[in-house]
Amino acid sequence: MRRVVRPLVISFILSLVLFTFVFYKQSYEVIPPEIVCKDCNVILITMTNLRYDHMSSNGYFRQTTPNLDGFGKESLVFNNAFAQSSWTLPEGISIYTGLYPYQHGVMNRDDGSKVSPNIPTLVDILNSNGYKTAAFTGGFDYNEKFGLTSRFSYYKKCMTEPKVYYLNTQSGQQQKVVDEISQYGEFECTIPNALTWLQTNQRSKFFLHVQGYDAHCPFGQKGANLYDKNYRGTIDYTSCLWTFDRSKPVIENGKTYYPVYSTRTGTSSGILLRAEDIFHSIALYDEDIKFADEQIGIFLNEVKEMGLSNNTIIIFTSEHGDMLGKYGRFMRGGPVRGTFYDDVLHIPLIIKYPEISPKRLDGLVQHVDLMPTLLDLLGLKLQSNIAGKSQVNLLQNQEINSYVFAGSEFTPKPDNIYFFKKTRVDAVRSKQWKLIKESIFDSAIQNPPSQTIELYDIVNDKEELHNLKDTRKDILNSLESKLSSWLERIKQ
Amino acid sequence: MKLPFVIIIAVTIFVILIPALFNKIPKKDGYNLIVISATNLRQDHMSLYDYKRNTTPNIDKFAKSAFVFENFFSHASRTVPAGLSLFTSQYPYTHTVWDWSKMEGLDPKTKTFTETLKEHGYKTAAFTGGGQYEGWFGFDRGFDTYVHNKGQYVGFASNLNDALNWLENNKEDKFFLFFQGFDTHCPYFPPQPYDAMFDPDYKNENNIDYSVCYWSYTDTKPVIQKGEKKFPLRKVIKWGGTIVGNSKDDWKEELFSEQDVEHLLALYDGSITYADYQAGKVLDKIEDLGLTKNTIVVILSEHGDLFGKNGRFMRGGHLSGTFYDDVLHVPLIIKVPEVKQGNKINGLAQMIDVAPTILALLGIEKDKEMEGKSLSSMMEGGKEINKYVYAGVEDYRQKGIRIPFHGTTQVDVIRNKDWKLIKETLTDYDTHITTEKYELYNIRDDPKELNNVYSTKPLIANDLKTKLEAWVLEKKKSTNQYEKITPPQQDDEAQKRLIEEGRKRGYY
Repeated sequence: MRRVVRPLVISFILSLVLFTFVFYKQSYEVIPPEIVCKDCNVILITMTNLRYDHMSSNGYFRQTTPNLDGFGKESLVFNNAFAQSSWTLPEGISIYTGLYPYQHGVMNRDDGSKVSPNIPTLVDILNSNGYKTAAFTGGFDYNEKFGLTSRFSYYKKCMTEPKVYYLNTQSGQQQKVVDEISQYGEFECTIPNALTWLQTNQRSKFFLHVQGYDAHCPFGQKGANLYDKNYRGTIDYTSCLWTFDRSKPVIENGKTYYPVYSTRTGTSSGILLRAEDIFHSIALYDEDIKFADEQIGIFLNEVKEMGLSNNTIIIFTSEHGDMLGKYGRFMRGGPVRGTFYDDVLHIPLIIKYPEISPKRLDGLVQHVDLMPTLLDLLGLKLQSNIAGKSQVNLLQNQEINSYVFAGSEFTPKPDNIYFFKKTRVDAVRSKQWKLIKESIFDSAIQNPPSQTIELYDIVNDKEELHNLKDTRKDILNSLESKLSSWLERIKQ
Repeated sequence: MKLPFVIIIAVTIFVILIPALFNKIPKKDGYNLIVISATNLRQDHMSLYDYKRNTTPNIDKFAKSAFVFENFFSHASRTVPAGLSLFTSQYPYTHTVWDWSKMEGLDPKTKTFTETLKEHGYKTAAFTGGGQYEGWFGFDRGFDTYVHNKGQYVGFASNLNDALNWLENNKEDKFFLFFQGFDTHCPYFPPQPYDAMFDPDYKNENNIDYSVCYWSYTDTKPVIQKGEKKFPLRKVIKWGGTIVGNSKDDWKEELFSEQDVEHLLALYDGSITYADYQAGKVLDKIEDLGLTKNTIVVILSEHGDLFGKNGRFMRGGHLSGTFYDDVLHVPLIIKVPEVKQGNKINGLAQMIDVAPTILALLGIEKDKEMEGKSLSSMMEGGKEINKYVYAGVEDYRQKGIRIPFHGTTQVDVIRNKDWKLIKETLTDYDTHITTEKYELYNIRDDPKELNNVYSTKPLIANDLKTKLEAWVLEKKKSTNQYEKITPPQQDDEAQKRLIEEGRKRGYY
């Protein structure tokens, strides 16, 4: 009898211990105390418009980012970090609120939307925890009127004099065009300002955001003599070349051209690019990245020399990438439609954390995760419900997200001179699969929106060329239900 | 018995011959020519053509001894194609110049009647109000002096003194003077007292700035605001030619109530009266200089304008909806020396007929490339020369600045005194889809073009359709312009090739 009972008891106890251990491990949400960096400073650097794949450390063939590469060698590098939308205004706010664009609702520059005072941002939490908060940006989508940068205890934006052009309209009249994009500030202005501020504030606990539109179009404003020197085209790259929708290549005189518009001439006349011209614009983009990387290198060096390395978390990311001509989209002008490819959503994310051994992490993360992760790292409590999830456990190689999501919409004002219809794009992505769902709403006719659905096997089709929506119904159905339950969830 | 019979025959022959002798218009190479054009002047807004308001007293007086054409029509709704039809006597499809989009003017081989006059020893001068009268379109061909204030749309007053001085200095020579003004072109902003002469009690409750142009870019639908029907219109140019649009506010739609539209019409009529006043000064000068006896004077307009018909205001955007009689039915008045008693001429006439008529009156042979016919036989009481008149032009617009349609529109019209058929062909640039739309009006009973009877009058519709298509086919075959501006051929595989090439090079 005993011979039977004893092993039973032992195995019961053993299973209990095991179960408890497993259960404990599963529900393990307490941050290991050694990971908390109490009262650490935080520096956030964002190079707007930088694609993940155009950094040399991410395998790009040009040596575009030697300084950031060196920085990455001492840091946690996220291989699979994604943005929630395709442009800076909603994205910047998602980073700071941990909320998807649909949740914070700021998806339009012109309709008066701003972050609600009821939504706590990272800035507010840090302010109330005794941090000095400062931001130095290139302006525009980081304008105070959107209710985010106004919350910093110190905010300064760099904006240059707008370029003004006069162009002939179809009616033959001269029309004045203010090229707003020419005002976007760059690191060569924001970084010196930030360093000046740091010199007087480095002894306090601080949060500092430095941003630059260097990698944003127009490209190649730093001389255009670094890459693709043999280019012999005649295209004028001094204004942004963009599309407001997917443009279709055309054949003229037997040659294929890709039509774009210039911000200088608006849609009154199109510019036809050859493939060589597009590749040259990419060379100019790379040059801008290189120049920004040099500035960031100088900045990081100064920070190191100030002796801040041991108590400062430094984060580098980009709000979004750029289409660079893929799928007939240049930049991301116009509606959000046609801009949710990985070219735009896959962004770099690097976190330098004192006393953590550098490594590259494969887990899926997204911008909304940044705020809860950072608060965990600082040992600060989050009081509100947000969409993002802390990734501290990912630092222990425990992957948190099976999917990342993106979704936003854009409703042009009736007087918008470039486009007319509301568009909305949602995307869900796992490590292998990606579903993009685009809707166009014709406001004039109350019809249901016209939709396009794209399904890509990212692992085997990195360029998102082969739409598998008809051949992989199983995956399509599963991702569609993921997307709709995500939308349900974030509505609450 | 015999004598009275002969006398009766003789008297009868004499009686029959008298009017013919009397009506015979003297034609002389030595006559001078003055053409006055008030662009955008609608025929039906002139008191000369029985308009309710006394808008054109000076022209009315002048026209007492002139030939007034009651059924004169333009071929297009814009100044460039219509104006060049005037100078070349060719339909727009033949001369192929309609706007800036192609950046191409008249073919160098195409001859204007100014050049013909120049060859016959005429001194030639044009004083234009600027705007679309840019010389390079071909308007300046043959002119010794061509005045065009680039970027401006000015009225007669701006060039009046220069034109009158030129007239005075050249009155001894054989001359041709072209005097054109945009007084009757939007913005309708005449000086005092013309700004308030027709509705002095109007209150500008909506604070509308009438110093700029307001256009619709498609068939605008009225909106209801506070129970009132209002038309959303967009600003275009400021008086003097400054483009509106420098501030975001300028792109705003302005809502016009029916009273506001009425006021726009009152301002338009005031502008006509002001233009008439200026034209009167020219007409007076002609008399003062003693030129009446040897100068042919022509008054006309290239096209009219729209004030809300089927939601169209002015003629912005694509051509669709702009070929109603509001636009195509224009005035033509011709005064010939030595003819003391003018006449109203009911026969159909069209813009291309003007140059052949002028040349006939001057006794100069017309160029064989001219497509119009001389109206002089009709002026002499002969039978009508046109069974139908035609209009037709095409246009390519890019989607963009306020134009929601990207593609080509082609509008063709055939008309006689009873019926009018309008055919609109729209080709979407992106989809290549072509849609056709027809409107048929019994223009005699329904001059306002309110009831489209295309579907209920199939026999008439088909007959006119066949004739119109034959005309388009004949006129357009010579040009190939349509091929030039049809959507370019698309390279559907190019996107993939670009991505693959970009990937190969490591960019994507």
